Amino acid sequence: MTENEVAIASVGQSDFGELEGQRVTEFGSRAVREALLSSNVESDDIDEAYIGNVATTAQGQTSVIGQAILREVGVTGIPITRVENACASSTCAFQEAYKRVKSGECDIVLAIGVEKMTGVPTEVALKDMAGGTDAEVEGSMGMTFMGLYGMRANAYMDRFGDVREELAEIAVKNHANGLKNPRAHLQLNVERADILESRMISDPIRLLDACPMSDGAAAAVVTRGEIAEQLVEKPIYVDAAEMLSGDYLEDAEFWREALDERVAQKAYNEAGIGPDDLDVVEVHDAATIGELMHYEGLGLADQGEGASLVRDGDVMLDGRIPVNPSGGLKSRGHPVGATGVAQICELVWQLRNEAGSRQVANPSIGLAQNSGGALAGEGGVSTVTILSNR
Amino acid sequence: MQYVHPDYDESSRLVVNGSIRIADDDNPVLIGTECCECEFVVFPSRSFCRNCLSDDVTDVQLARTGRLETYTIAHTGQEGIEPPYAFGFVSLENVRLYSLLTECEKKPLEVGDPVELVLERIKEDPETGEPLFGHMFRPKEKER
Repeated sequence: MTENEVAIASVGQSDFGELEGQRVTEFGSRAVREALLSSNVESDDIDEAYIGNVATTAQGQTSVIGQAILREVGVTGIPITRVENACASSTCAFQEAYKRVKSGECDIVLAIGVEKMTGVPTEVALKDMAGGTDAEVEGSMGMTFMGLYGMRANAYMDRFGDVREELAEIAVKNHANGLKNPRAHLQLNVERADILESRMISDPIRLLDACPMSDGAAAAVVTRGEIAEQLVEKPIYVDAAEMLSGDYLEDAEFWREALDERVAQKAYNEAGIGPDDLDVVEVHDAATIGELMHYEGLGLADQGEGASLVRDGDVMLDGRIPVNPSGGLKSRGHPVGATGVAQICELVWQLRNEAGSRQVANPSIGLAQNSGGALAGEGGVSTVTILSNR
Repeated sequence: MQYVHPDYDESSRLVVNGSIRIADDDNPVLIGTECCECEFVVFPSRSFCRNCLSDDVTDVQLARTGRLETYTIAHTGQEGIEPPYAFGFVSLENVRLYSLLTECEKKPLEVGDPVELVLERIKEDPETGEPLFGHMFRPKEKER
């Protein structure tokens, strides 16, 4: 089997938010439609499709979600597979698409992410999310995801000192970026004091440290590099697509993103680059401490030094290494199954200089990191995708 | 003496079946599984070893005291458990486990705190209203 260069012809994304009154098939198909139209591919050209989706209670359409959405855009009669890996579901769907093209088995594959989360009581949604932890001991005895971030934050601050002000600055940054993203869920103009005075959710994580639960969808057309070059003016190349799960042993250190470190190293090796080569980064900031720890896990900062990237302004839109120009999960919102491909959408727009007022200055290499679920306090999965415009 | 909730008796239902019981010395104890081949210990109990896949395994009583690895206090939590409530990860001799934490009001929790096992009422069965019991840990008072 020959190995092919893999590229993204184009992407599409629905608005993220509380899409009240819209069925999952409606906003899901809207994202796919945009990806198809902007890629200049016909529905008949699609060989296969992979769809990331967790299928929470609010969704209704809990099975054959891919078929239900793709019927709306005339993509039928092909293999369509749902991929579930908690909040990293659609990055994992994207990786399946990548592997199918890379292997030479397929020419054009759709990678989709979709989730409908709003419209049910908060307790119901929280119970759904607790299913992304160990259901036997953790989810059954009160663990929440923001609690997990609270525990990671306390372990981190025990080792490296208080970073609550820097965490608040991460929230301020991501909300400022989100105000420049018309598809972002939370359009909030907030200052540091607003974050630090917001309601405590799971100590030290406050309401404005946490991402919202959202509805939304995103899609990418993944194809061979040479086909993408015929279809569109600015194809974006996939230089690495890696994922790993945790070890779940007794010696995991809660202050450290060891899982990120392992998957990032694989991705950097695959792409032949290092963290200093990156121009724009999207990370999984379900809570602000997540973003800070991903700086260190990805090698953007040394262990214990993540807060300095915030203090020095490095991660700002005009900084040395802008992180979450889209607004991140914090502001763009977190429809769990859609977040991974939404990060890829943002990198594609940034690398094409199509990101409007949140455009990073002339990026050529971008990285997206997406996490999903947790067992024994360690990540269920972490993924790293590296894209470039060559 | 370690605490056992007064409503608990041998017929009480547990959140995690077989995870905890009253030992011969009348104190609660967590039950894990130890592999007779490779000595790997796991909680809660399993019918075969996760490390070497042997089914030659036996119940083992876990240590009653341990170290608090990390913690949080949830002010918004799961239905059925009244917030605020604390939880964390506790390292025992051979095992690390998730646990709710209790009696945390006296002093702020800190990473590294010594903690001890108690048998507590965790929540009610949402369908029958029946109380469900299980393990919690509390800060361990210094020996006098």
